[in-house]
Amino acid sequence: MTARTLLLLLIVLFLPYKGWAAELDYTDFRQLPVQHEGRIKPLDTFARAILDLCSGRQSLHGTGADAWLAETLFDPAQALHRPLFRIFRPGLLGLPEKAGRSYSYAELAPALQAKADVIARLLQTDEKNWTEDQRELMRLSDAAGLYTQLLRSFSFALPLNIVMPDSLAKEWKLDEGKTFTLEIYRHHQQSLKERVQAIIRRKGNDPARYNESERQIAQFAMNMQILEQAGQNNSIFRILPGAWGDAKAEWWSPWAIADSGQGSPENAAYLQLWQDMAGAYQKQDATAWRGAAHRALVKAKGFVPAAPLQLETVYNALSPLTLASLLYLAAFFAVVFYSFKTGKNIRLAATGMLGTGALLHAAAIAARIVILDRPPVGTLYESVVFVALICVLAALLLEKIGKDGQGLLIGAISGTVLLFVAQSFAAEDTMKMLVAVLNTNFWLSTHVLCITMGYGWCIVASLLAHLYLVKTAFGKAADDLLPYIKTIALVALLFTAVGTILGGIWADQSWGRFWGWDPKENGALLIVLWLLWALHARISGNLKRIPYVTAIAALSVIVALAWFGVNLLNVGLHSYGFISGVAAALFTFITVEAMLLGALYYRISVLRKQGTR
Amino acid sequence: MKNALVLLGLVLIAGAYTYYDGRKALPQQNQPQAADSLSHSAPAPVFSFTAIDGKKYSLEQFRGKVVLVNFWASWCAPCVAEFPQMIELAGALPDKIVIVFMSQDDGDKAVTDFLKKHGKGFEQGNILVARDEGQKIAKDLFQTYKLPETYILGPDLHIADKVVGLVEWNTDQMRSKIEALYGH
Repeated sequence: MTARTLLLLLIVLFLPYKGWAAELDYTDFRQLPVQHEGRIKPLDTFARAILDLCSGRQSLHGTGADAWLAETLFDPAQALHRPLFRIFRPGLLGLPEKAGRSYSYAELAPALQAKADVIARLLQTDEKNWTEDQRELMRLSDAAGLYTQLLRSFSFALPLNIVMPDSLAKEWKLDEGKTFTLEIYRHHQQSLKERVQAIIRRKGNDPARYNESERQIAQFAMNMQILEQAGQNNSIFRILPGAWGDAKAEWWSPWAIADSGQGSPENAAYLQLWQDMAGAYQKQDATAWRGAAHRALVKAKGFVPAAPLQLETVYNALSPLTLASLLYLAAFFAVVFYSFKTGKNIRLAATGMLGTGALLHAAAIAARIVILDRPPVGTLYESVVFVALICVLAALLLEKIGKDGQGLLIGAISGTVLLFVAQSFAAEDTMKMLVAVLNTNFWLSTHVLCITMGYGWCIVASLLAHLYLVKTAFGKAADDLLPYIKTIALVALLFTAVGTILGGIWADQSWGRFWGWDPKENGALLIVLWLLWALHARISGNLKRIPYVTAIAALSVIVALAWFGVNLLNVGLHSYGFISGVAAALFTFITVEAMLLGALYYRISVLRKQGTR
Repeated sequence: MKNALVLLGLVLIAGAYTYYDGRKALPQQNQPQAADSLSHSAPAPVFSFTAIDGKKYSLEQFRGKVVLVNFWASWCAPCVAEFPQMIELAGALPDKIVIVFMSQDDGDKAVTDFLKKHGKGFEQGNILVARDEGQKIAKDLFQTYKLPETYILGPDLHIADKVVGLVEWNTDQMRSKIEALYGH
């Protein structure tokens, strides 16, 4: 399949491999709408997602994803020589080792073709049983398959480097010098079919009996048929909205629109603008390109709201969460500096950085609400980002009350660490539509937000408890933290308890039962029970101060288990949250936390025995 | 008192959101996100054509009547199969509709041969048969690739609907639909 496609692509006007095309203006191009993963998104997001899938990056050799996409669509002969695919084990495919481990489609496709049998066999097996090598092979096969479709998305409008029989050119009134495309061929498809049928009627199926002209026509018809077939099932690039009947909610790729019956004059005019863009790109005519892209964007605004698309391109360009995490990190260093050299200005600077980070963080979450038209937490990645904001805001509140830098420290640590953790899930974040059970704005904005806010308050309580233990272990007074720890633990209990009950009501509505001892439900209950136990045991005097604070500090482990740990079990109805590859990180975290808390507890006990404190 | 008011406010906000969320049409499960589809009431592309009898027409001439633009070809069996009902419909609503049969055949001969063989009923005054030279009207203007396809244009020459494939034309439902386009 891939080798054949490669051959077909080579039929397309061949251009020698060269560097990136002169810089065109992609401002309007990147905002054009496309339906991908169930939602309408700007081309910018689409390009980044596919590029990331193939190369593990969102830009290629210093060139943006938009320019890469334009080349892939409008100059595939050039694009297939571009080193794109990051291959970690090139030996698997018999490819030579290369610096940067980037290989072009022209290199990858034949190598994958040689492994076609292995890939076909693997497809029949359960991916859970795949080895790392097999997983890598299938990853590359999937990425190459997707890229193959993308390369051919616009091939019907691109010039074909194909020899056309003179008799046909004359009959179809094609001027010499005019580029021949599949789109032009489609206008004469039936006539060609009739010509070939007439030849077969006269002389049969054996080309040896044909004269030169007949042979040329038969060969040409066969080539065109192969090219036409290669476009079938090409559905990734859905840029044309449906217009009729039940299928109008779906969008269609340029290839699919021809067969879907979803064509319309509006779509024809819009597609013509795309063809104008293709022409301008091939000529590298910056003015024509800008004009065509602008006209296409204006036209697109007629059938899809422009504001969310524009907002999403700005979101992609600014990357506000990265900026926020950098500000949190800077705030952390400022707070550390403040602890050595107390000064009003340093604290003010740290507050400013943390506050600005929080503003950017909140703006990013607000932008996602507008873009996705749903509450901010629907995936694991989004939950980490949201919890990070709750932690920072709670810490800023703490700082407003305490004015001693401790809130700033908690906020800077939690914000930095959680946004860093979020980065490890960022690859899965293409802002895709949620699975059906989650696709309800009411429950996402009540149960899920309540539980995640509870996680946030738990983390702040745990960090404060850590701070208390560290200060105590180093002989510093920390009792002023105790009221904060208690209050924050109570707030965490309120959110997690209410969130758990709301989850039960949602489960009753969705699954017909309030409680089913599902691992995720058990995880949420575990936090509630842990908090209830620690707080009640402290009130009743069964837990002394240090064990109580240690129990609150250990909330981090309980939250980590409830948040990520239960997903590793791979059972239960909360299947949308399953993740892999975090077991080692989670185990390390729990081990380090246990060792840290154990060490602090031991040191405080020793200090007490020594009577130092 | 202040706390009670805050609590009451929160309850009211939650209640208002629940009401709003309930009224909002929920996306269908497992369906792609619905987007605003293209407007069905967009004006039809402007085009003119030469009927098979040599007379020239432009779409604009039919303003005030419902126009059916049917894309067909002599080699397309489903197209031929739906002709009798379309002709009956034209006969049932002589003053209300005009049917333009736009052939996708390669040459006029294919069309005239077809009409000689199956042309009964095509002589009605509100039926026009033409050939789409180079398939420009079908493919370039209406994005029609599969036959048969019929666009239904309202008296204002805006696109009211499109019918893909073989359907029954001379039905009460279809006649009512056409009547409705006059705003009766």
